[in-house]
Amino acid sequence: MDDGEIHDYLKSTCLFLSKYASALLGCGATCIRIEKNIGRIADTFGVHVDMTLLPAHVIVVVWDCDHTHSYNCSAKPIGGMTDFCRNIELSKLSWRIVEKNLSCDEAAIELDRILSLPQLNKWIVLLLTSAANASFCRLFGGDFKAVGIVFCATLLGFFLKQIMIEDKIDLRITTIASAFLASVVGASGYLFGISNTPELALGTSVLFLIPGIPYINAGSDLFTNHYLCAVSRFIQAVILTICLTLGLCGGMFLMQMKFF
Amino acid sequence: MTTHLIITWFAIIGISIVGIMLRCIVKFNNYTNHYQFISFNTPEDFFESDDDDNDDETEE
Repeated sequence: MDDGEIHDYLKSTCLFLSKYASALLGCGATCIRIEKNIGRIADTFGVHVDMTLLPAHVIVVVWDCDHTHSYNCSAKPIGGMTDFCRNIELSKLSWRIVEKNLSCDEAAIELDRILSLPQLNKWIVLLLTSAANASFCRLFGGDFKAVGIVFCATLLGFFLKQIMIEDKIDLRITTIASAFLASVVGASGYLFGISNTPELALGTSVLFLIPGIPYINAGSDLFTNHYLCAVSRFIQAVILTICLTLGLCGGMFLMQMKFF
Repeated sequence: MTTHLIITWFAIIGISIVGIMLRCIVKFNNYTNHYQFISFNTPEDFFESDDDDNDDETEE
């Protein structure tokens, strides 16, 4: 290949890899997964990749085998919401590239197809989240009336969260409002004397708002020496937890619950 | 005191549910209007009607 062809090849490869990495970062993948997948694809394409993973950007530098030509590109995360289906599809794509020896153009078409896949139906997510949170209440020893209260609290709180996110309202304000509403519904066990375990109903009614994935990802990044991303994700998770606490305290204060 | 709390509880839940319903109605109406415009009106009709209005104003 002459210099022009090498440049074109590196350019198309770099653009694909940066888009792929930003899609993975946007759907909530850990840094080690992004590095492994990108390394796997780069080996198949016959290029060498240096990558910098930042909390809000990915910088990809692609070199040819001789380290004489390079092309670099930075990209913002695509999406922004945790999406395990997309995460799995993107990982499968990296393996398909290796096993079927896909070219960069074919892989780019596949990537666009994955990015255009619809997300899981929001009504199904709403029902499943409510059922999961109600199950937590039962696991902690709540009676069936408390389970019903938690189901209703989650249904209302999570629906509020969904529509506020649709309207592009700040996630911190969304978390406070959602936790407040869920805690007020969760307090109905105390207020109306419905359940024998009202404290469990109140406590578990806001569990669906705990940012578990950012905490786990922060731990994973910490163990794999990606301290910048780890600290960023941890701070983001802590801020959301503080917002959740503010909403819960607001609801408890308004319903005149004793904190301790 | 309990009555006061129950009223507060119903007020918060009521406001939330009514707010969510109103938001859904507004969204649905916006969608329906958009859909009707695309389905039953052509851009030519839309601009022609505008021109007619302007002509009327000029004549006046």
